[in-house]
Amino acid sequence: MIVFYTISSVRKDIEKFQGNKAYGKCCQDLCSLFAGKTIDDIFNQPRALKEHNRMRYIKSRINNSNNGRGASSGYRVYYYVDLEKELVTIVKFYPKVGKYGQINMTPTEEKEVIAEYRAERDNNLLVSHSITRNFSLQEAF
Amino acid sequence: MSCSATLDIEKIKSTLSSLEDTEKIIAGSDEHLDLILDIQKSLSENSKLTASLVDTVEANFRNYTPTKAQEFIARVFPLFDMAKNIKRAIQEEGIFNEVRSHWEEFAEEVDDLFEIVNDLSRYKSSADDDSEMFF
Repeated sequence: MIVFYTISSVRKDIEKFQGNKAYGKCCQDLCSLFAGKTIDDIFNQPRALKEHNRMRYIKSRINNSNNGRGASSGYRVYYYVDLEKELVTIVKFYPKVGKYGQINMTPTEEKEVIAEYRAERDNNLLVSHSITRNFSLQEAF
Repeated sequence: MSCSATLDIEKIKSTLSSLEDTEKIIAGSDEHLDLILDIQKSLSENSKLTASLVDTVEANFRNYTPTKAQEFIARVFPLFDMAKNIKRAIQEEGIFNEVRSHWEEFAEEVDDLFEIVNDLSRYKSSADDDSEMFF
């Protein structure tokens, strides 16, 4: 069974987005990226930025169902997929447009989220989510 | 060059050609209403072509070698200047408000293309294997 994790900064961002009407369905939209997919499907998502052994670092575009304007004006999700362990860890999630809109993740931000991911993974601080229950939190890693 | 690379390059050519047509429409029409309708139609066409180009690059992203990524970036770059020229020309004609929504839709697709070009440059164009830094 695939387990979906987030790092703490992603959870903070999601909480912030949920408080804004323009992103109210962000958890539902995030779940739609993964729902019904096998680990192979997720591992083979097209925009694999980096690959190492049986792990990939992937970026995906998803629609924001609050604005109905397609993926170009939707959300961006960066995540690691561990094919062997069937783990998906979301390390960055942001909207492209609106109050919290972001053009791209900067190299500095990326270094920070990778460092955060490694620290939380190594210290068992990742938190799991249910993608069948609107990305609600589950138990600690 | 692989089939997918050829497809990417062909899509750049058709998108650039469509943007050139938009520039010609703006420069060539005398009738105000015709001009607005033609530009709206042309911008919608540009939006579709640009979105399709992004989808194609994304679908082939894993297969980009540094050489192929650099070639793609070099070939697609004129498109961003053309998009700016189109906006300037529309503003000079004084019809920006009439085509605003079509322009905004096109601009979103151009931003999306710029983003994927940036990703190609950042993750694919270097010959050095820095993968371990990410894991």
